[in-house]
Amino acid sequence: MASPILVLVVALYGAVATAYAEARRRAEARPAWARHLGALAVAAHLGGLVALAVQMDRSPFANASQALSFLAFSLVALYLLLEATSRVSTHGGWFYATAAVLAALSVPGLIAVPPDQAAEAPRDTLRSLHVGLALLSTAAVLAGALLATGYLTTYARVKGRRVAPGDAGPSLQGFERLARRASLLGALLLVPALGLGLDAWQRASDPAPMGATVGAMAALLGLLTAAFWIWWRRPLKGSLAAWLNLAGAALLLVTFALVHPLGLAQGGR
Amino acid sequence: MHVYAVGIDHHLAPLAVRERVALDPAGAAQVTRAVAGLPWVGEALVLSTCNRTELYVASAAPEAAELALAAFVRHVPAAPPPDHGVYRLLAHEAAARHLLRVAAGLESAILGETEIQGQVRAAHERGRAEGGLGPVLDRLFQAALRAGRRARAETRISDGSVSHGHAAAQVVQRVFERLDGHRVLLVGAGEVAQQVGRALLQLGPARLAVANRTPEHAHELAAALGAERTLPLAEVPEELAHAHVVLLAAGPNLIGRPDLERALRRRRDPLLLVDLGVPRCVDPSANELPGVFLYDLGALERLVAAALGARRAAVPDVERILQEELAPWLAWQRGLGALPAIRTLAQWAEEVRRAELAFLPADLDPALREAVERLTERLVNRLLGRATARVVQGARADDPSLPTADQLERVFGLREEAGP
Repeated sequence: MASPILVLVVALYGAVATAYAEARRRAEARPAWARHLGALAVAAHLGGLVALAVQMDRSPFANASQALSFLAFSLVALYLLLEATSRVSTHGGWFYATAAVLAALSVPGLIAVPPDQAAEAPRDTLRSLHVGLALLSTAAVLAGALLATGYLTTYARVKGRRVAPGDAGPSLQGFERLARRASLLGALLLVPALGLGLDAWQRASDPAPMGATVGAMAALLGLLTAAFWIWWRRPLKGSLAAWLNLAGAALLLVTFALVHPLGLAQGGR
Repeated sequence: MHVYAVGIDHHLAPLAVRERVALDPAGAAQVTRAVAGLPWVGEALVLSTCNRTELYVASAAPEAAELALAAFVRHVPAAPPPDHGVYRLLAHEAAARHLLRVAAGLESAILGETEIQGQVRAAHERGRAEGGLGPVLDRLFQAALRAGRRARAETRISDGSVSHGHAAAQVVQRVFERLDGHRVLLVGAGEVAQQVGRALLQLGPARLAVANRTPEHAHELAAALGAERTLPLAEVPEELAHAHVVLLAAGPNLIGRPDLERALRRRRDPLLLVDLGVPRCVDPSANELPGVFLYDLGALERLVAAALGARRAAVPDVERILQEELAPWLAWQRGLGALPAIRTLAQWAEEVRRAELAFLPADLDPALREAVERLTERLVNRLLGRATARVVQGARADDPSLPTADQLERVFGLREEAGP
């Protein structure tokens, strides 16, 4: 993805996050222009990713930089999907802020390796599919963690009788519904990703990193499934489910940091 | 023409007086008509709510303030005598500013309440319908309505819940997105329970049950609120396993912690308890149970106080908006003050022009006479136009560096000068 488009997308995500944060600070409804700008930014990001895939004739997550960009896009697209299908207004400034950070980190030369320095590797369709699904499930895990944080914060405020005039954002039940969907989506995406990961692990020349990643994905699947089940069947224990979502995000970060730093992408050709 | 406001409101008059002078729409229309027909009145309009009955008058009469008070006493039924000490009498800018404060909710018993905006709008429309409205009050009421709208849109003057019912509804919204299909149990059938129950039901069509010691009262309230069923108090602990929101305004110690612990084992959703009882109906330690949110009267009162605090903090912002909306009206009003002098000047100039035209030969060609008339008209307009514009400009801007209407009259000798 060309850097100018990426920088534009970062700026748009940042502008939307700022507008949402300001609206929240002033206890006002989200401005309509910011919502439209958010949708426009996602559309621009998607267009950039498609153009990149067409231009390179391969998946738009062929290196760490592109993978981060794809992850940022997936996170905001998932946010829009959740909001559009849930009758819950999420006031999702944190989604845009996280996406802005991820997209900024993906700008080549900032921290990511410039594309021309990325190691070339032979094409492997199954592995590309594995990486794509893993990145989408990562977005779902991050969304679940953001929603879980919102749930726990709201829970603490309501429990502590600190409901403020003009409080914005979803209710506890709204967070519960959204986090349940994010958990389910993450688990459903992880199942095929895990299957493809097992296949890649068996074919890998150095099986250790891939094995650790597959193990982490299996643990993540367990966490997401448990969180989904609690959100669905026992919302009374919503705090526990929220902590499971946060544990999933922590596991993801540890996996990326220690075992396979931004490395899912390196196999994605 | 100046504006005067005379009336009775909750700051000065007790409820017993306010309820006597309160006017229904037909009564307000009748008073508007009657006062607007008085010879000294230019424009008249009545604003009557549960907290105030006020008469707004625009008049050029020098003693208009006293006349307005007398008109109020004479035309508003059961109004106390003028020396009763309950009247507020405001003139000129203070009267105009008062109306803007009223519309913005700054003069309301509940700071920032929104109903007054509609009441001011209704009074404005009634004034128009009854023939009491002219340019002065029309512009003033438009400015007030604009100020009220802006105050509520741009500041937090109407934010938050300022009644127990609305505070309870606010908490419900933080736990459950909306109440559609949720089970609400109302324990107690008193007035408080009824008020808060009504506020909660505005959040959606809940499945409501009413429990009360006296079955007849429970049935009455259930019918009034459209509840699905009634139940005796003894069944309340069992119902805790199913209800989402339990609103209690009944006897003390109705629900103990063991009742809740038993219920939680069978529940799947969080439980919100709103305890309006004094002494409390629910064991206060219930709030420690995971998934249980207990709000007692003290907690609700803190929410109300927080909302009122936020509204009070917004008052300076509202005052700024009122000033922004009032300033153009005041400028326009000051400009109106220069009009009599300008009108007199125009009349004098026209007389001079006509007198000079009389010297034209009687047999002058009609086309030429027409051209001369047009020429003199244009000449007068051009000679006086700039001066009069500067006088109006000076009056509107209250700018002492510009000529005043008084100076204009003196320069052209338009009025009798007092002798030395």
